[in-house]
Amino acid sequence: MRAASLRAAALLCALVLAVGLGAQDASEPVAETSTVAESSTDALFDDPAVDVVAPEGPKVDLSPLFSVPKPTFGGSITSTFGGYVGWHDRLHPTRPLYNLGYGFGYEFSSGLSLDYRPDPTFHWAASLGSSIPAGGLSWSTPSIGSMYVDYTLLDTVFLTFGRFGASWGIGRLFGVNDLLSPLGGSMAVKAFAPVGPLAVTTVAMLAPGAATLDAVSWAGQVETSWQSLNFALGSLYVPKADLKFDASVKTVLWGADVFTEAKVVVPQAGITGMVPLQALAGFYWEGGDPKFHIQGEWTASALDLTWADQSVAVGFGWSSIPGTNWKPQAKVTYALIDNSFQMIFGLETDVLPHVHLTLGAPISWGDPTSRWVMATTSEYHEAWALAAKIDLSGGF
Amino acid sequence: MTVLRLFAGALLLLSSLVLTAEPTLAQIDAQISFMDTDFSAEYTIVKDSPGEGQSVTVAAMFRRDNLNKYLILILQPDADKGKGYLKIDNNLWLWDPVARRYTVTSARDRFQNSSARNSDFTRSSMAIDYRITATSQAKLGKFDTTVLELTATADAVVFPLRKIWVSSGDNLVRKMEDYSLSKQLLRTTAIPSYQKVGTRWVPVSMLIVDELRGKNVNGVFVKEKTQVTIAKPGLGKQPDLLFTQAYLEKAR
Repeated sequence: MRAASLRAAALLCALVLAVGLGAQDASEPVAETSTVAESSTDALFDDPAVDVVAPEGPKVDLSPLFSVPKPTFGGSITSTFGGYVGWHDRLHPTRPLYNLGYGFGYEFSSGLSLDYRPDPTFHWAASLGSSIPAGGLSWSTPSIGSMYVDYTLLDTVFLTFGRFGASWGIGRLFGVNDLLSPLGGSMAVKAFAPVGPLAVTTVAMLAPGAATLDAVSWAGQVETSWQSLNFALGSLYVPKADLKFDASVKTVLWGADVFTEAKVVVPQAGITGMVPLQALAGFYWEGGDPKFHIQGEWTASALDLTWADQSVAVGFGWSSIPGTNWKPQAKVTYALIDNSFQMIFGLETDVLPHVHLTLGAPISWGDPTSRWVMATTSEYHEAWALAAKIDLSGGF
Repeated sequence: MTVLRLFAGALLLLSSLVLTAEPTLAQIDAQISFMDTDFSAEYTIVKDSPGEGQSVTVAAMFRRDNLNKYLILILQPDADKGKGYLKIDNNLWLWDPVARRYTVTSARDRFQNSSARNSDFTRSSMAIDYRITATSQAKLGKFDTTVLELTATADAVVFPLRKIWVSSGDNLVRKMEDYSLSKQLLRTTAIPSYQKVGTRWVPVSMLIVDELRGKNVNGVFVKEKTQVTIAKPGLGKQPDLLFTQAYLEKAR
């Protein structure tokens, strides 16, 4: 029996040894390939710290990002001086200075702001501004740009009360489908909450001058994601106006943000003349170092369902030309319905402390009554110009 | 003797099982995923660029693995404070609080220009993303490990080929090598030690060596490295509001 047990032990040892040798054999190619990795990583395993149970202690604290114990005040002032020289119409064949024009202008603006976040649930923000508009000589009466309170209700709902900026719509070059754009300056109450897989936003708005509750406009939006697709459905009800719906889909293709959107207007009784359908599609890509972006959009208004009124736009921008602090940008917008277009080339930089220089070259082209010529000048075919603007600004 | 024989047989069987049992990718994923609770922690990311010195980023991380979501908020440096990453399903947005706008980013992109990728912060999904093509045993310092060679099952996976060293007994990934389709080594990740949080594991720290980025210093190519240290781990349930764009927009 003793011999049998010794044989068993020997067999066990032999098997264990064999398995061990087998493991060593199998590891050889790994060891060979792992030498590709820098030895500094493998050295970390020679005497590593032992695995531990995570100690009980303080958890992640985000309150510094969402609260400031004391109110913060800010102020800014900007003085703008600019001028242009250019042709109001196409070049005269024999008199190159014919139709040449030039101009000079200035404007001033200043603002004060308040930001108070005593704790992460409460945020009070306000801004007050005044300006001397182009050609004016006196400051305007200061007006409230925004004043609102954010309140987080029981970690469940974000509420916002007051006058604040908001926009719905995904176009960056054409903002045609921004449902909230007609209601800028309204007093509003906004509520946002995630409901299952949906992000739900509702807004009640009272336009300036409206005083009764039956003048309240309502908007709602539901957003959700599935795989790589993002869906949004919004609607806007304005009393005695049209009911609007907006649907959009966004995704990412080859690193670019790709989107499409449609706005439908359902006329209420007695109201006509609105565009029943507005469609938009586009892309936006950003990358590189320094950052470079390129974008393109197409939009169409289907007033009579012929889709005759289509426009396209492309734009690009660079955060800086390598080795310089010059930022170039360009945008071209073309209306297919009348073959008019507008091109704007821009270049900007900080030339001195507080001094920002912007150079621009806007070009409009088309018939005198075409869309993009009308947007620039109402009586000529084309407009060519070189413009420069200097902003002197400071703030605290 | 019968007892001794039975013991020897059991030992033999056990030895062979221990030495040949290979962890499945699902088992490896399960060790470091929090499918039944939220996970939060503070990540300190130190990028060491040869010739350029170190840069430090501190970020707050919140993961909801069962819904494939995460939110990362940058706490330091001040220049990036308030920037945030929100991942929902396959969508990943980067919020810029200064420009107040989102840009779409990708799991492939580098996190804050470090050697870490945005995909490094999501739940582990190797069982979905890869299949095992080869297995072997190897010693990695003091660890006995199983080496699994993996091939991606979908184009969307950040690294098409990967090799992982999994320590025996605990199924924890101790080392990873990420390769391109042409088998070019792209980066090496070392995770010498873990910390247990609840019933799951999180690295104490990990060192990521970028095999392609670096600089010649005194005639030697020195690779860029990123050290990620994870502190303040927690498993408390986070509000649903936290995993929304509206939440990111409230950071100052």
